[in-house]
Amino acid sequence: MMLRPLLLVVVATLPAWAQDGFQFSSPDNLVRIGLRPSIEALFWKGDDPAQGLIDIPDASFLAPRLSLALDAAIGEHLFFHANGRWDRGFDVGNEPDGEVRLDEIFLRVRAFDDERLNFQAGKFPTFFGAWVSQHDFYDDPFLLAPLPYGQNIGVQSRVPGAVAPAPIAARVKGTAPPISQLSKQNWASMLWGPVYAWGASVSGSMGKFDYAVEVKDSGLSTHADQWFDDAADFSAPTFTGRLGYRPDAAWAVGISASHGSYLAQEADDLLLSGTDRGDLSQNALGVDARWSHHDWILSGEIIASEFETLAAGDLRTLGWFLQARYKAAPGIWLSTRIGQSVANQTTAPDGKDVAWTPDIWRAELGAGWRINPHLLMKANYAYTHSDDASAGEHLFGLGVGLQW
Amino acid sequence: MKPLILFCIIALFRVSPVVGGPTGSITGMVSPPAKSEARIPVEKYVGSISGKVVRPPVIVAGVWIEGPGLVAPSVPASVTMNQKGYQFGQSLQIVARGTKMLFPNEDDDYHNVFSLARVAKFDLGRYKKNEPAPPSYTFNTVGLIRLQCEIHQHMNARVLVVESPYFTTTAGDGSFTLAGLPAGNWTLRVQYDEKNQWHAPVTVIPGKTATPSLIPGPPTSLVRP
Repeated sequence: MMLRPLLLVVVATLPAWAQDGFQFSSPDNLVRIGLRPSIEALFWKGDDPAQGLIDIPDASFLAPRLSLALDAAIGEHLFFHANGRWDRGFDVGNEPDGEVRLDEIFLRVRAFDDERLNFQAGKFPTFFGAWVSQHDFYDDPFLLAPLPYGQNIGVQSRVPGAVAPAPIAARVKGTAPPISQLSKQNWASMLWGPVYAWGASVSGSMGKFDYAVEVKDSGLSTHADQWFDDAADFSAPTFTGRLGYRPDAAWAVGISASHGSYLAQEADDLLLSGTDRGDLSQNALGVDARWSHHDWILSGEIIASEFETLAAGDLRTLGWFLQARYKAAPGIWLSTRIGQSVANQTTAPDGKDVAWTPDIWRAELGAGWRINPHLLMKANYAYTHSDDASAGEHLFGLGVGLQW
Repeated sequence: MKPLILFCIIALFRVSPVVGGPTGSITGMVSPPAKSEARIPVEKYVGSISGKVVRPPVIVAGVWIEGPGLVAPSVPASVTMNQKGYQFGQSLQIVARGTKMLFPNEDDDYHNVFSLARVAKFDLGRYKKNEPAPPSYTFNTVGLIRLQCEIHQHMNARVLVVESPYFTTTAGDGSFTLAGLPAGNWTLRVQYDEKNQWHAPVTVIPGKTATPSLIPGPPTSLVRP
């Protein structure tokens, strides 16, 4: 029964579909649907093991991606967004045979005619920080996520007991493999990309202020698999909020905070009775700033994060990045970014203080060429230096995207 | 010698419109394209829209006549395409070749107008409200140009640059009147976008209103083989 009205809408708007993208609407414009397919192909080449969360078996890797984004609106107050993808892993190379995922699916209710109050529920990116709002291939001047959003640190997200003084000391001495040689999917990142976890939020913009509060089923540092495996399990929820201030169009600053478990659901089976993963939290605090004018955009974030562990105490890390994008010509930009991640120390079994995770810094160059409104080409070179001598240093990426 | 002078005089009158002489007009009507409004103006993530997004402007077509001797004015007047309520001021502006267009931003947030059209490739950068001089671009090549905002993807508009001093736009229902036209045989053209366009040969007679039958598509001389 529902199919017939939908079919009528599609048939009535076929001319529009053929002419100007994939936009449909009912004759009275009450129901509007927009479809946005895209194809991207990324080629990576670099040292082994690769930097960041890239998990490729060889020094070079082709990572194609097909995406279909759907936007729908009923009236002026009810919106729906979904984004499905096929690729070789959310983290490049993690699923070399390919997988289909529904990365985003959420319903938003806008309470008023403007943006002052929105309620949202579903699977959506976190409101923490500012980078997430530009993480899409067509918005981000780079191919890699900034250092704090995509680099393993020495916090195990599946086996709580693995974060203990003895194994930390063994890694420092070289008698155990360093983090860079271990499975990336078992170790946390300070933030794991856009954190497409399930949850609900209240957000909005009022004059110069933006605000958002969300509750999610997974923490900021959880890896992509957990956003699916632990779907809608709110036994250890994460609470996150951001307050933004825009004194004028050129400036935007924000402060974010988050509290919630960083452990996967399966970690509960490894904890002693009376303890659950909700008792071991990640507490994060972030500050973001952006200045832009004419051809320039400068932005940066500082994120401090604390991980409560069973045996190694509270592990603290601080990450930051600063990036610049300059429009050199119509459709062409150049970009550069630097970032660093440092950590406190923990006490080894012999009483000495040792670093629980290697300090890392990264410098990047990027370029983009929007050949036409649909076609974008990007390049990214990253040099990463870590206290972990076995970690890869050079990485080059080239990406082409076609979006309707 | 006399026949040559006479030929030149006749030729001059054939190719040059009589400026300031008696004029006629053309009326007509086309069907607006059956299209939905622009992209749904929902920002997926907060921070780029702090006010209310108004409805997009009414979709209109450009209407103009072209023919031998009709050229754009040597110094066309400047025109304005503002951005207000997170929309462009007009869905389409028709201008003579050589026209300078100003793009003032009247919203509290940034806009970044750009075009990647072959005939007008430009990127004005991020401009805010009340800057001393609004960004501008001079359209020196004839053609249809799509304008977009880099920050707000739902915003779009078109500029139609023509080699003619006689042009107007349709009303929202597709009706139009092009008045003050010099007498002569011209080609009438109407265009919404790349696909929705019409043409018709038309004879303008002083004091009279012509209503030609419009033929879909551009004139045959402009159709690529």
